Amino acid sequence: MQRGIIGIFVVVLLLGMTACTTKPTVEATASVVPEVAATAGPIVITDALGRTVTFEKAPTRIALAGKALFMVADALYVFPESYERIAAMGSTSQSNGDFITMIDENAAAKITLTGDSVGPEQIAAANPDVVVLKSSNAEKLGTPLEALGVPVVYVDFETPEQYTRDFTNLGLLFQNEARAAEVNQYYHDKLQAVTSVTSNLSDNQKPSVLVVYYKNKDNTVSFNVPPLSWIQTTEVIDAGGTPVWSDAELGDGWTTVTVEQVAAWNPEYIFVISYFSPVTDVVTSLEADPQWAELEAVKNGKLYGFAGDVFSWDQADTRWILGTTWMATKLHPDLFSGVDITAEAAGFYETLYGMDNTAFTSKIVPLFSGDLP
Amino acid sequence: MNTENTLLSFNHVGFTYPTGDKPVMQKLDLAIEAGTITAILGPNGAGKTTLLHLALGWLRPQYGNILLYGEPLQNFSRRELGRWMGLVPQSENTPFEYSLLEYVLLGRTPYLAPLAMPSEEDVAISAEKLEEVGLGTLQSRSVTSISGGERQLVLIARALAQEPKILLLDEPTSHLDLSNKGRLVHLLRQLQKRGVTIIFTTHEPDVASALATHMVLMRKGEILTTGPSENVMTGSNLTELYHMPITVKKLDGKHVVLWDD
Amino acid sequence: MKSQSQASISDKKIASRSQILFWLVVLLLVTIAVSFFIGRYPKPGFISISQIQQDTLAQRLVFNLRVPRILTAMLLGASLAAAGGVFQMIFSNPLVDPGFLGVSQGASFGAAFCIVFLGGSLWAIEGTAALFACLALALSYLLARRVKYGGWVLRLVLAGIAVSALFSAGLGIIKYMADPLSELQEITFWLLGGLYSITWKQFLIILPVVVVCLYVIYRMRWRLNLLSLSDETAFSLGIAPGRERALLLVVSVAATAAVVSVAGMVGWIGLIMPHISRRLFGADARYMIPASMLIGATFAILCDDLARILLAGEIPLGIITSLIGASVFIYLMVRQKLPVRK
Repeated sequence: MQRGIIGIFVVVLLLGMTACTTKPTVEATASVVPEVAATAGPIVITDALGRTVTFEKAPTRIALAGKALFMVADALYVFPESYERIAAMGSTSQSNGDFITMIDENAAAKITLTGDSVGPEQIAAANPDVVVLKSSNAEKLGTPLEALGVPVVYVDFETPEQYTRDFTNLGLLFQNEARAAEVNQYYHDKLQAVTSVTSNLSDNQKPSVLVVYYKNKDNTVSFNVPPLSWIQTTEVIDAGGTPVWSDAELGDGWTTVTVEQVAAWNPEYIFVISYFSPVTDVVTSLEADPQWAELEAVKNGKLYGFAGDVFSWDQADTRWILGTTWMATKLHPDLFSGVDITAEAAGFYETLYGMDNTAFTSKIVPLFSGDLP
Repeated sequence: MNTENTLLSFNHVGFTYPTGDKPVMQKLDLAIEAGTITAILGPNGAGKTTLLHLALGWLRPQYGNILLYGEPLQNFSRRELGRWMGLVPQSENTPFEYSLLEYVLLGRTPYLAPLAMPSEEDVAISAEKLEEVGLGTLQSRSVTSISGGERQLVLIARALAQEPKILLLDEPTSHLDLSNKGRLVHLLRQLQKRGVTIIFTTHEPDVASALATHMVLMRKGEILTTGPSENVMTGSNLTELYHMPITVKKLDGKHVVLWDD
Repeated sequence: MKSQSQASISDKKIASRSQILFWLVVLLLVTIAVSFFIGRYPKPGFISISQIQQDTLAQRLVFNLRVPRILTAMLLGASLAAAGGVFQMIFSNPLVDPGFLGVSQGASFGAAFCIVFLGGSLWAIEGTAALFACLALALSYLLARRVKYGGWVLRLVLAGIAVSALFSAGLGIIKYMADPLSELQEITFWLLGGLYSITWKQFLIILPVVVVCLYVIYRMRWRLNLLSLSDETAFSLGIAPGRERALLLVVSVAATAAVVSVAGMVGWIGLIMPHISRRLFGADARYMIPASMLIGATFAILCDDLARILLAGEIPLGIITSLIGASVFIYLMVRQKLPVRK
C-alpha cells in the first residue's frame, strides 16, 4: 500500500538522479568552435536553460553548488581567473579522489558549502556575484537563489556539444574568451583525431562493446549499464564501437543487469567502471569468477578496467576526452598505434590546467587506475 | 464443608491481579460437590469470572490452595486439566472463518500429543458434540456466519469435546434470547444427568434459579452465602446481595424473583 | 451410525484438501523446474537441455546463478507467507504482514547497521537483522496495546505503520552516515528488494535457519489455531499460550529476517498468500500454513522470473510483488464473501 507507492516514488527519484550524471535537457548545439568575440561592454550570456543573464562587470565572487560538483569545478578551473574568483564551493571529491585541492592550494578554505542539503540561504550567505549550477539543480537551488537576488548561470557539461557551449559561456563570464576558444579547440582537435578515423569504419568493423559499472553495496553486487543519452555511450560510439545495450529498454539512470544478460549480449569488449573501489581489483575478481571467465571478451583478454587518474575517465567530467581517446586505442589498436595515452594525459593536464611535466608525473601518474597505459 | 463428594474446593484462597493493588478476594472458602449445578451469582465486578479462572487453574492464588478431588491444581499438567475441565467463555470473536466442525475440533486438543494432528476419531467425536447441542446440520457453516446464540452453543460443544468432568461457563446466557436460553438450560440439565458437574457465573437471578442446584452469592470478592438453591434463594439474601429490595416468591414450585417494587 | 456418516463426509473433505495440497506441491516443483530453463541467455526465453550440455557458459550461468536464485526465491516466498500466516493468527488480525508490523523494516535496519558499523560477516548480518526484527515486533505489539483509538485490528495496524516508518527512517540515517558525500542515499535495494546478487553462498547461509523455522511452524500448525483464541481459553484447552506464541513469533521473525538480509524488503507476500490459502482451504491452520508456504514459494519464484526476464534490466522484485499483490488484495477486498469451502 503506502510502502509500495513510496517504493515506486523512490525508484523514479533514484532513476532520475544518480551519483554521476544527469539527463541532459537541452538540444545539442553545433560542434563548430565559435570565433573569439571582442570583449566590450556588459557580459551577456545565454545559458544552458536558454536564459539570458547579464552582468555589468565580470563577477569576482563565484559560488559552485549542487550535485556532481566536481565535474563543474573541474571545468571552471580550466580558466586561470577561477583561482581568485571562485569564493565558495561544495565538496569537490568523488570517493577518494579530489582534484581541485590538488591544484588550488587555497581550495580547502573555499570549500564551505559542504553537506548534502546545502540550501539557497547558505549559498547566498557566502555573498556570491553569481552561482554556477548544473541545470538539473534549477528547481531546488536556482530558482530560490534568484528569489534571494543572487544571479545564476546554468551549465550542463554532459555532452561534447554542451562542453563547447558551456566553455564559451564561461569564457564570457570570466571575460577570457580567448581561453574558451583555446580549450574548445583542444577538445575539437582531440575528438576529431578519433572520429576522423572511426567514422570511416563500416558497421562490421565496429566491435560490440559493453560498458558496465560494478557496484558493491549493502553486501550486494550489481552490474549496471548507462542510458543511451549519457556520455559513456557517446564515448563508445565515437571510439568506433557499437554499444550492445542500444536495443535495451533502459531507464534514465544506471540500470542493473544480470550476468545472464551480459552473456546474452556477448560483447567483444567489456569496460568495467568502478567508482568506489579500485577497478583493477574488480577486474581481477571478475577474471576469476567462473561465469565471467567463460565470456568471450574475458577469454580473449578484452576485459578492461576503465582508465582513470584522479577520477575515472568515463564520466562527464573534463576527462571524458581522455576516456574516448583511450577507448579508441583499445578498440582499434592498429588504427591508433601512434597514440601514447600517457603523453595524451600529460598534454591534457598541461593544456587545461597548466600542469608541467614534473607535477604531472609526481601527482597524476601515481593515481593511474584501470588498464593504463 | 468438604465432603467425600467434593470435587473442587477453594481453601482460604486469596488473589490479587498483578496489575492491581487491591486483592480481589481474600480467605475465600468454597466447596463444589460432584454432579451439581452451581450458580455463582452476583453483581458485576463481584469477582465471579476471577473465581472461574482460578478454578480453571489459569490464575494462581497468592495464598491458599485449590483442590481438585483432593489434589492441588498445580499437580495436574495442563493437558490433564484440559481433560477434567472445559471452559465456555462469555464471548469469543474470531475473524477467521472456521467451520463449526473445525471449531469444535479444537476442543480435542487435550487428547492430542503436543505436535499431533487430530484423528478421524477426534473428528467423529466433535461431530457428535455438535449434534448434542443441536447444531449438527450446521457443521459446514462458518463460525462467523451464525447467530450469537448459536455461537454460544458452539462454544459449549467445543468444551464438551474435551469430555470434561467439570464444565465452567462464564455468563452463558447474557447474549441469548429466550428460546436459546431455554435450549441452553435444557442442555445443561441433560449434561448434569450424565454426571457432568456444572459451574456457571451469572448476574441474572432467574437463570440461576431455573438451573442451579446450588448457589454461591458473591459480592466484592466475598462469598455472602452458599448452599442448596432452596436455602439460598431468599428475598433477604438477594436484597443483601444487590443492595436493593428484592422479593422471591414461589410459583408452581419454581422461584420467581421480583425486583421492581 | 449417524456420527460415522458425519465422519466419512469430513473424511472426504479432508481427503480432497490433502489432494489440493499435493497438487500445490506439484505446482511448486514444476515452477522450479521450468524456471531453471528460462532466462535471458542466450536469448530471452527458453534454453534447452542440450544447449546447456554443450555450452559451458550456459552451465555456469544456470548452476551458479539461476539455480541458487530460484531456490532463494522459494525460501523467500515460503518464509514471508508462513510468517504472515502466523502473525495473522496470533494477533487475530487478518490484515497484518511482516512488513506491516515493522519486522521487515527492522530486519533491513539491522542488516544495514551490521554492514556499515560492524563490518559484518553474513552470519552476523543475519543475526543483527533478526535481533532488530524482534525488537520491531515487540514495539509494534506494545504500542498497539497502548493506543487508545479503535479496535484491536486497527490499533495493531496503526502501531505497525508507525514502527515500520521508524525503522525505515533509521535505515535512511544509517545510509546517510555511511556515505555522506553521495547525492542521494541509495536504499533501493532495501526498500524494493532484489535477488540479482544471490549466489550459492547466500542461499546456503539462510537455508538452515529458514528450514528449521519453517519446520517448527509446520509442526505447530494445529496449535496455531488455538493461539488465536483468548489466553484463558487456550489454557483451558491444554496449551501454554504465552510460551507457544513466543516460540512461533520468534521463528517467524527469524525466518523473515534471514530472507530480508539477503533479498531486501519484499512486500505483500505475507499478507496475500494466507488470504488465498484461506479461500482455498478455510481458516484451519493445518492446511492454511502449508498451503501458504507452497503458494508463497511459487508466487515468489514467478515474480522473480518476471523480474529477471521481462526486460534487459532488472526490475526490483518488490515492485512486482507489490503490483500483483496489491491488485489481488483489492480484488479480494472488493469481491463478495464466498461461502466457506469445507
